[in-house]
Order: sequence, then C-alpha cells, then structure tokens
Amino acid sequence: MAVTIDGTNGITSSGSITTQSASGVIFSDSSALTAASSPYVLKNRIINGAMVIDQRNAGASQTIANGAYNYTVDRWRASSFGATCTGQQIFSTNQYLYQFTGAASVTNIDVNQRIESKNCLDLASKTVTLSATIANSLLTTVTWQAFYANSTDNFSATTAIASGTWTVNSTLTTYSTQISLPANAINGLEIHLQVAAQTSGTWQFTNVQLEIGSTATPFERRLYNQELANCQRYCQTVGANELYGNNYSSTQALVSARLPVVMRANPTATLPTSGAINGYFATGAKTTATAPTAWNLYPTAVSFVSTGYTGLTANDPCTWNGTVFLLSAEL
Amino acid sequence: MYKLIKNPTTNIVNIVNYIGDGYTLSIPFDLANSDYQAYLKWVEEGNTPEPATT
Repeated sequence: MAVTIDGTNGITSSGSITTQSASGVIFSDSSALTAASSPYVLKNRIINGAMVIDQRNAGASQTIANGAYNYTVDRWRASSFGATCTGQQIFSTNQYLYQFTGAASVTNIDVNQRIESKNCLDLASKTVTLSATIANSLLTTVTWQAFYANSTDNFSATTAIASGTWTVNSTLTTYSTQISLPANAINGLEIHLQVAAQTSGTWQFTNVQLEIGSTATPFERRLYNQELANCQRYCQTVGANELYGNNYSSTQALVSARLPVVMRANPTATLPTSGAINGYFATGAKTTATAPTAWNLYPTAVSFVSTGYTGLTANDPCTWNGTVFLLSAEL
Repeated sequence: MYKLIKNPTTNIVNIVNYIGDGYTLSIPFDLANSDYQAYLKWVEEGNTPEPATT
C-alpha cells in the first residue's frame, strides 16, 4: 500500500489508514474525532422508527383488529389475524418500544410502514439496509418484507420486492438485512415486520431503520420535535381551543384552524358525533345542534361547519372546544 | 357506507363521508388522499354512494 505525505495534498493512500490511538484524529484547532461519524444525516427513511410519537393513543393500550389495519404509534399500521391481540407503546431501559401481546387463536401479526415516493425516490435501483431491534418472548422467527407501490404513493396495489427472516430471542437485539430495490421503488415503499402464531407472550420492536448502502449503521435518533413534525405531515389533531371562526348565518357556525405542519395531501377528518363539541358564541355557550361537517380540508388549514342552531347573529365570533378532530393524510 | 356531502355554502359536492360504527370520516376529493383512493376503488367495483342531501 502506498502512503504519500506531501505539503500540498496532505496524506494520500491507495488503501485504508488506521489510527491506533484512542485520541483519534487531532485537528489544527485541537479538536479530536475519535470515531467515524455516519456518512449521512437524516439517513433513516423510516419515520418514528424509535416508536416515540403516539398521537392517536398517547401510550394507552389498543386492540389490534382481526383482519383490518389500524394505526398504532405514528406511521405504523398493524393488523392481527385469527383473533384480536393488544398493542401498546411502552418505555423500557431508556427507550420507547412498541409491544404486541399475543392472544389465543392469533395466527399472524403484521406491522408495516409506507414510505412516500418523495422520501425514497433516490433509493430506486440501489441496495438499502433494513435494521430493527426486536425481542419476542414466545417466537423465534420474525419475517421482514418489502413492497413497492404500483403507482406513485398509491398502495392499493403493491408488488413484492423481497422477504426474509430473522431468528430472534427474548432479549432486545438488533438485526439487519440488505435489500436490492428495483427501479419501481421510486413509487413508494412498504416495509413489513411479521410474526406467526403469537398466542401468548410479547413481541417488542423499536429502532427500525432503512438506509441507503449495504451496512447497518447506528440508529439515527432524531429530536422529539423533529420527529413529531415528521409525523404531523401524515397525522395531526386539531381542536381543544384551536378552532375559531364566526357565525355564518343565524343557524350555521364556521370555525377553522391553520395547521402547524403542512400535510402530505388534503387530509381526511374524523368527525365527532353530534353533541360532542361545544360552541361558544357571543350570546353564551351552546352545544352543537347537529354533527359538524367538514367545510374545507386542505394541507395547510381545515374548517368545519355546524348547522341547526337558532338565533345566532351572523358574523359574531365563535369558538369550539371539547373535542379533537383527527386529521389523516396517511399513505 | 359512503355519502356525498355538499359544501353548505357553495352547494358543490367536495367531500364524501364514510360512516362507520360510531364515527364518521370526512374525505376530501383529492387523488393523493388514500381514503379517497379507497373510495374510488369502491365505486369502480360497481358501488354507488348515497347522494348529497339537497
């Protein structure tokens, strides 16, 4: 191996250079680099891989439906097959995990995340590495699968790319695999983790990462506020003193809110049932007479209208509170 | 069950509601919205939503 030292180019080598000192490399300002940093920042294409954000359930236990996918912690959707099971975000040994608890007759549990085209288009035709930290107190096999959407950001039809298994145990351990992505990965990716008959015991996972290249690098831990904003592109809530507006007529009250993060698409709103919200008007508080209706749903702002009042004064201010509207622009 | 919804001020249908068991999803007409994609697939399969209330 040739090593060249000169005053113009510094040190060049046709092979690797190893430092034997714990001090690492010392720079001219006396700062030291003792370990190589990751070659990329914001390398992880999985959002909420650390299971930190849980806007829908706030850490509460939830039932994982039998044969239907519902969201768990943010960005992660799951289904149980054969029977329902339960799932919950938990905090253990200085980290968040998502934990499924098995139940009799469960034949499979599947959890997956869809990655939008804009966040993976550069991965098309490249090798990527999927890694995850997993423990299972009952089963020893976790299956991973990768799919691409057949059209851009539309996962109603998908095509399998690759699958494989990890042999796991009851101790949290990090596993990884390499996946060679096809050109169609530009449409968006769907990454699955799955177990078979979890009829008892628990399945925990966290620190899921999908990165470019063929090496599993340390998990990228993003700050809470950054990851929350990442999640709010797909799901956020509005309500509880955030909806203000005016009386549109003597029978209609219109309220709106500007969203803190621009959503991926015009969001779907989950509406409360009739009477679940309180309208406050210049004439005093009144409970809504009919269920609210979405007025406009845009990525930057949403508005709702409730009808069936009597005696409102048009253009008087009003506000709603007492409930939360869930907005979803999930893939 | 899906039901078309008119904007109460413009009278233009711009939303379809999915009425589930104890909840309602208000789905905007946006091809990028996955709930709207599911609605279009449901219509393609020969189903018809409830018309908007006039």
